[in-house]
Amino acid sequence: MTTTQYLFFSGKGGVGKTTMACATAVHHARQGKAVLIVTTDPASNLADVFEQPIGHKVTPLGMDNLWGMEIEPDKATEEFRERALGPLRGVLPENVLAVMEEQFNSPCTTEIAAFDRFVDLMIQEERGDSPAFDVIIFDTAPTGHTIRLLELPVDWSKHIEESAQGSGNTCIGPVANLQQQKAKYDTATALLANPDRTTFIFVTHADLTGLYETKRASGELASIGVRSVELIVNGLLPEEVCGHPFFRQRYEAQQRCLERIVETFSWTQRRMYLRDREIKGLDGLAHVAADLYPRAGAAPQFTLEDDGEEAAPEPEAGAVSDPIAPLLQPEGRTKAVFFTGKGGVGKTVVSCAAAFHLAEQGYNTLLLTTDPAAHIGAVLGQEVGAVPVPVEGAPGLSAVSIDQEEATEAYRARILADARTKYAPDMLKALEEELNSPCTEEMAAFDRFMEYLESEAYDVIVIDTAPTGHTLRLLELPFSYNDQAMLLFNSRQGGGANASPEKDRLARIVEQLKDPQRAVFAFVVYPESTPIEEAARAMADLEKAGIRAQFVVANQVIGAEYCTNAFFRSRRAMQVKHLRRMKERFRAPVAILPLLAGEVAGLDAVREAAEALTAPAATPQGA
Amino acid sequence: MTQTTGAKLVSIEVYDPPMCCATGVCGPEPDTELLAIRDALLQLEHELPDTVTVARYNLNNDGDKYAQNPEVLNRLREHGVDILPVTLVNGAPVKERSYPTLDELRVYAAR
Repeated sequence: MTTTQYLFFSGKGGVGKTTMACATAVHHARQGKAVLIVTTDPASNLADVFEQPIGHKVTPLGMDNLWGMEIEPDKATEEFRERALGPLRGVLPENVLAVMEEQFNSPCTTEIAAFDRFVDLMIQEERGDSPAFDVIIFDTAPTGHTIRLLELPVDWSKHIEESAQGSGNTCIGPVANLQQQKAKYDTATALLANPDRTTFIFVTHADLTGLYETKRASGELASIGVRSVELIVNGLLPEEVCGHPFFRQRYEAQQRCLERIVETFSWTQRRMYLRDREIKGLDGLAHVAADLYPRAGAAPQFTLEDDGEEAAPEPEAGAVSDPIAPLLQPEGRTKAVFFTGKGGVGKTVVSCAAAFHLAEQGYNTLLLTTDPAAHIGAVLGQEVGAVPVPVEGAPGLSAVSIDQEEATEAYRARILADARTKYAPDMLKALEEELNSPCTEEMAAFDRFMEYLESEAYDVIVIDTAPTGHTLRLLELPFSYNDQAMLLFNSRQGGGANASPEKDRLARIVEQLKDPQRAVFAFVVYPESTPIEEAARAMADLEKAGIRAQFVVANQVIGAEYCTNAFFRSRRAMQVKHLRRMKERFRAPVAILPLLAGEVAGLDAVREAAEALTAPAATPQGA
Repeated sequence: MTQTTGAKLVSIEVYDPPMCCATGVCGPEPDTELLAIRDALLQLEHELPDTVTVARYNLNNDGDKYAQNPEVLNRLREHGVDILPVTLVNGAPVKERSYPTLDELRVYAAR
């Protein structure tokens, strides 16, 4: 019997999860253990780090004991979908299959499909069916939601059918197909909960968002029984390079946050310093591994093995911010401005800056956020709650914080209270899990947004939580598929009915969101590989719903004027290279929000951010 | 099986449309139609535990059932998913495009 160790890396886009996973792989391989690293990150990410093609199979990575494999999420989802739909092709009509296919486009399905491949690897190991590895590293951990879905009783859908307690019809539809493989999932989930075999490793930055996200995720892990957890605090500024007051201020803010992280979490914590450039190749990874798993007494490093040269300066043309202010302005009717992007990339700060700018331009503006009230309050320098209040010192600007947990909880409680009087425990359990879906949260936030939009009390509504393409397509299906499809909303009308207030309402709102004059979707990213890849995927998803992103915000670009040493000059060159790539890739204006001295706190800082974001003319940064 | 009592066996099958969630909880509000049909079927089984068997299918999970039943398949080919839900009693279609009420279910069960 094998005793393979499983390490799952978890963390938001842009925190350096893949790099930490790779460095950990190199560390174990150097100790003579056979290591496999598996990724589901967008294609080429792992390949980028190891500077060699890898692909959908186990591939040697250029050093003893180390192998890698890239699971392509799209391919995995397609395989997963064809397993279910393949036998029905040619039997069921095309238009019916099209409706069924849409169900497989949900983000939940993509995650389940990827996890399914992880589980296959784990199972092969347990059976001894494949070359044995001592350590298998997964660079993207499944969420608690996915794992709980797979743990649901094997036959609940059967049971529901038999007892007619329900249709057995859920957003886990595809999971029901998998349940024949129940034994496989039982083995895998037991392994996940075994602290001798499996460790979850969170990667975070030392900032308030990271602290909040880590707290939230740790609750989720506890709920699925994971007991072995470690934390890597990444991106710490080395004190030595923070001579400039600008960076000194940032350094001190990080240290204060780090203290809170130490107090808050009792897990093993590792620290990782920012490097002067992107970490690539085995040498770079070995360098990181030496800090992450140091020999006693070793001092941390932060410049990569110096080849005596700074990274070549990039043409500054890439670092020119495109003007986006005109895109934000309403034209007659209420305009919705959505900022979308992975957690932790600064959506809330960008939303505050955009809303502040619009209010200054004389528009009656509502800032709607799902950021925790305490954090948005700190950003704006005043308390923000569940009811819109005018922001003092910013005439024309009101702010409201949707407490997403509260909104979702209220919604869940309402449904469960009703269901408890009617259904058996198994059904309740399934229903409850359905209500834990990330889709429910997204919908709860979107529902509040619709209320404010319809009130027409504002010229512009800025919101930091945009619905995904999948949700928009779901909302839209009854209209675009017209006579063919009938989803949620149609069925509520008893099948055939055409008009209803709810349907009309959604039709109006979806129509507005698709009108580029009345709704703007913008992406917020760091100018780094992974966030750019993730944004590109989310953009494609939105485009399937008929919405094209109108601009992109590159956040935390280091101003050239602060780059007074080789360390930061080198980092800026890396960012400028990615800015240039973003312009080529996204074919949309790219606005630059420079890195600010501290976390944005108070209206003066918001004003500073607003001015930088909406600079009217394209001026090279720091010129 | 209850054949010894001489009671007629009635099989009721409901073929649902494809939905993200059975309850509509993924939408802005729960789907009262779906809650009502669940409730009605439960009630019917409660009233006639020995004579009625109920099965419900979901296009997303049970596509094969839709493909194997000629009554359902032909309707899908002709009208698309708009024809769903379809209710069959002892294999014969009795209602389409909407769910039966509890009263209707009682009538089917008495046939």
